[in-house]
Amino acid sequence: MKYKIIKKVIPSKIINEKGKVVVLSETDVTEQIAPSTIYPDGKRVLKAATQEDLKYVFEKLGMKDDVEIVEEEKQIDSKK
Amino acid sequence: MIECGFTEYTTTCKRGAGGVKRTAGISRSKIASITFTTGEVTAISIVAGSHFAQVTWADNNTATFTESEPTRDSDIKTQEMIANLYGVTQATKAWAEQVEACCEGLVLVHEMNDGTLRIQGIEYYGTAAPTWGYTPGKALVFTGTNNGTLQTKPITTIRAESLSIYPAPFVASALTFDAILLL
Repeated sequence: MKYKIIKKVIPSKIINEKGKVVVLSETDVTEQIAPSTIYPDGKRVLKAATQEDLKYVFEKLGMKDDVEIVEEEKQIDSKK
Repeated sequence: MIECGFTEYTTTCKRGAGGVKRTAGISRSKIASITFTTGEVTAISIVAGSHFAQVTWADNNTATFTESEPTRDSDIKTQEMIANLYGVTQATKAWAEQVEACCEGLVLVHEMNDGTLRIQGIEYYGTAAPTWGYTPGKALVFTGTNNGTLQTKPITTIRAESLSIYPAPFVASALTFDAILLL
């Protein structure tokens, strides 16, 4: 089973099963936050959600407005 | 809709300080989605670039969160969090002005002194087809100052008010206050 993010104007972020913050986006997202010792430049890079994260979001959290199931693409044998 | 039921409820002896310890707040348009499991909030997602901001209230036993009971004539509850910040300064004035300007409404996660979390500004509809929405009366914050001699310290009083049909939801223990702040 494969999972796909339902695209939004601004991607949303969640806490994954491991307790890490990830963004529901196909690519990493850099956000501005208040500068701190951890982020002295005020920039935090949010890692893009993995398939494992998307499965957790869909199956465990039931966030079906954010993630959907996509069917595995069938291999087309062009030789036939 | 929740079905009618007046069921047995046994009170256990649970001692512990009540009141609100700290609150995490965010403008309500920044909430992307909220997940409920068996009536409790188990996950929150917010739009990238936004954050819950934390305020720790004065520890002078004044921070409370109350909901009025509805009446025969109205099923609306008034939800009210009252708390204080120590000091009446330019910093507290600036904070107050900023929070009062959140006209669109807020979503506030209150951490009680007994460790439970409740959310003001959203509500949960039923159990058969669970869904969430903002409270009919958005959560707004109003402030005032007390620089008199009655208090040993000057205080800035914070009142967060909203109107709801359903009680403020609880957050499941698996989703901690600190985890919400990490978002």
